[in-house]
Amino acid sequence: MMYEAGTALMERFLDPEILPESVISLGPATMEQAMARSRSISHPDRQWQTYLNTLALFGVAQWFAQRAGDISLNQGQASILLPSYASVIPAVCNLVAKGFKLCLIATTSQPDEVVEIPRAAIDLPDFIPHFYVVVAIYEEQAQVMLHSFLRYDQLASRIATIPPDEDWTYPIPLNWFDPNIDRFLLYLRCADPGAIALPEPVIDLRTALATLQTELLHLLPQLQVNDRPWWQTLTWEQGSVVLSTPPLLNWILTPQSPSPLPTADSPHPHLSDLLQLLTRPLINVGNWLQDQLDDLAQQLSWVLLPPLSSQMRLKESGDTMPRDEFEAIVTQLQRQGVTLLPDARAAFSNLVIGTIPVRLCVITATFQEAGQPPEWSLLVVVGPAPGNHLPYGTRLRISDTTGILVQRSLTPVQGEEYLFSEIFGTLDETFLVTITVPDGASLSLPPFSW
Amino acid sequence: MGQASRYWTLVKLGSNGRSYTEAIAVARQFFQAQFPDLEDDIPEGKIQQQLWQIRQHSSHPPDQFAAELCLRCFISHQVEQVCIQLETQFGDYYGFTRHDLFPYVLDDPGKAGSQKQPGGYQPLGLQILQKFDPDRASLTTWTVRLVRQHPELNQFLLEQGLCMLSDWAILNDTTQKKLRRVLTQFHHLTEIEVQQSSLLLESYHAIYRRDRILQGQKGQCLSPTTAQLQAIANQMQTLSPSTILARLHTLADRLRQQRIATRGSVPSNYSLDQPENAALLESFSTESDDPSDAQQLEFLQAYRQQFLTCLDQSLEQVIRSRQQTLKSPKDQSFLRGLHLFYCQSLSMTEIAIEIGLKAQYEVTRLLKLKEFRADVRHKLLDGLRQYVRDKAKSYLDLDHLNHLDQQIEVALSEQIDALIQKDEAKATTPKGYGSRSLLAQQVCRSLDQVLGSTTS
Repeated sequence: MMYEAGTALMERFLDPEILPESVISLGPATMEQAMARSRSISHPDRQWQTYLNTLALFGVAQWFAQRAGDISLNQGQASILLPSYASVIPAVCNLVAKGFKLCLIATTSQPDEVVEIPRAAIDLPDFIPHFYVVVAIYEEQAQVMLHSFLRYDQLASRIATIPPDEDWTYPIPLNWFDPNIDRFLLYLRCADPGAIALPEPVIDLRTALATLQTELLHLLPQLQVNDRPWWQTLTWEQGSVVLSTPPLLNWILTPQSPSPLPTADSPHPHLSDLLQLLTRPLINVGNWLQDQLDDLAQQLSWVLLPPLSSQMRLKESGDTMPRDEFEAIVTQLQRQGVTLLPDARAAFSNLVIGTIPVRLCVITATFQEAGQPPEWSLLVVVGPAPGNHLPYGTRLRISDTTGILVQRSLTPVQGEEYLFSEIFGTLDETFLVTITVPDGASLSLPPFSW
Repeated sequence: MGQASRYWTLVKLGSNGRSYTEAIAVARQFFQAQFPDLEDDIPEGKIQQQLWQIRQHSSHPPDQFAAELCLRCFISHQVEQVCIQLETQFGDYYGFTRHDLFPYVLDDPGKAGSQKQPGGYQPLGLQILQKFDPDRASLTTWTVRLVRQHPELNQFLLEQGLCMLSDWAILNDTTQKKLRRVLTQFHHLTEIEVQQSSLLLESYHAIYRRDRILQGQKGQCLSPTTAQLQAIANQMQTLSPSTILARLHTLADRLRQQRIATRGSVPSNYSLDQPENAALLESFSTESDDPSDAQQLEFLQAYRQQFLTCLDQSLEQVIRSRQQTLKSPKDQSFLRGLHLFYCQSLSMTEIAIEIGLKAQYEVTRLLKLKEFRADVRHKLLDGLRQYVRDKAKSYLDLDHLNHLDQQIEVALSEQIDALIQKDEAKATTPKGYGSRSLLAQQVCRSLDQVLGSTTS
């Protein structure tokens, strides 16, 4: 009698699970690689999830190689391999096979009746796939299995019935997913990606960012310092804008080095610069070489100077820069070792920052070195308005989307009249110039672009 | 003798790989002295409790040893039962017997050796006993738990396609959301109990999973170390490491119960590969009740010459690419297996014998017939694409494509004269093939060429 009880108990506890023949075995080196990729993530849950996601990616790659050698899997843009997304979106987005985008959802060895799909993969066009693929992970056994899949069009037609959870996931019933993996292969092999229409981005990111700018300036630094999940700090509206803006993601995930100069600037000068770079209208200095000022520059009363090579005399009227003054600048630049390219063009603008009148001169040129993409240069010279002196302690800061490139301050030691700096970038790069005067007032110009 | 003898007979591994029971006189005398009136139906737990007490606390070393032997005898019977249980449930399909399992776990010589020999091996029975805590679980539970964690046994079963998750793997595998669902919906626990478990799991994850990744631990999850339990206890602030361990086991048991309850246990591919179950396979693939089916059959009729040409090409490509991914001599076994299945209609078990494999699951894994058919259909559809006039409808509408795929499955399963006119069929197929499905027929033709060219 007691013996029977023991047997029943044994059946309950001794429960080998049957692995299907299509299961994929991962080798120790692959397991180690997946672990190594997740070690740097400090939050325990996100670390484990990233590990499972990486196992899912490696397993699916192996599955394609074994089962469908005719299909090549492009992992170049896989979100899990990009540090900025790996721990933020708990799935493997942006895999591509035969033109179809795939999103892998790594689940436990026995998927629950509900599959958690990150909102980003359902609501944000950058991440929406043609197919969601549930990948069951037997971590202890180093086995991975393609469990089931779901077409985006089939999800889209029903998603309105499922409200998202507050943690930025949608609980999608497992029975929406098709366990017939051969059918998934059929679509990849024989269908055209056009068969599943994916939504285009509808929100104007620049406008959305501009609206949320002040909030983000306040909230994003919190994401940098604490380990809490983002959904506890940001609304989904804010989160969706951040997730769609890689430079912001990079900013959050890059540890900030202390500012090289003690500043009275905002506590996160680069973040504020970044938000401006992403939202403000641009001044196109490329036009200058065609002897044109764009509308924005005209509105801001920029004055374009003639080509440097021209022998034309500059008028000595109030609105333009006297030739003497410009030559003085050029001379000083040359003394500092800066040579101007022959086709460089310059423009200037008179500004008042706080109470200080300032004359800002910008010189630009384009060039290309052998084997390199074309680049442009931006030479910024901050000088006094005619008849004034630039106060010591005036500062110049130039940023791009990756960081603060230049921070300079006018000091008595140098005995200079001008603050200047020259930077170079590829044609798609933009730069934000900020001038701060000693009383703390500062002005950022519209970002310069080529 | 009856059930009581389990406390004085030890199950051992014989030189022939079989188990035998050996009576241990010391254990018998001791046991009968302790429990003279077994007719009274003393609960198992009470017997074990008493033996355990003596083993732990008796001031008389021979009694301590005798009590330990009794418990080890009992454990050996349980271990044997585990092997028998595994054989009964899975041995047939996976081609193993209890005798394949015994060497991993029946290793108790029944000799003294409570203390671990320096560098020496500790028999499983003794390991089980040393970790046993009668206040927390019955000896049977404990035995099953530790056998389940036995690394070599696990490795053996994994190679057969069976895996046994440790408690730690199950805990690793559980998210907070899932925990909440299981505890409330399946176990109907109160909110306070759920919260306690949730906190325990959170602390466990923060320590155990982190260490697993940081220390690069792969394969079987080992029991948490004392240091880990202490760290979890520190996070929980109140509990002792041994209580933490017990609670983790309890939690894992609860999760396991839900896993078992919600899982189907029959291998899904078990029956599909049997020739006699071809009808079943067809019922799977022709689930469609779409009104446009007739139209799609027309599609196949319209392209039937191209269909046959493409089928031949597809078969050739799929067989060749399969063969290339297999290492010798498996590639040859694959061709023979395919031949035996499609051309001689042998069952998986018969094929196993013919090509020198141990069990039918090995044949199933070698042939992967379901995948084989899918690959052939996909190649076929892809090949037909160039002939199809209305591509947009057929290849851009996924549901349409899917129905087409199913129709091809039907066509492949149909007897050849259903698709091709009789005269033509007779002219193109060798004698004796006529009654088989189109796929079988064409596979045989392809194989006859491949095998013919390699063997003759």
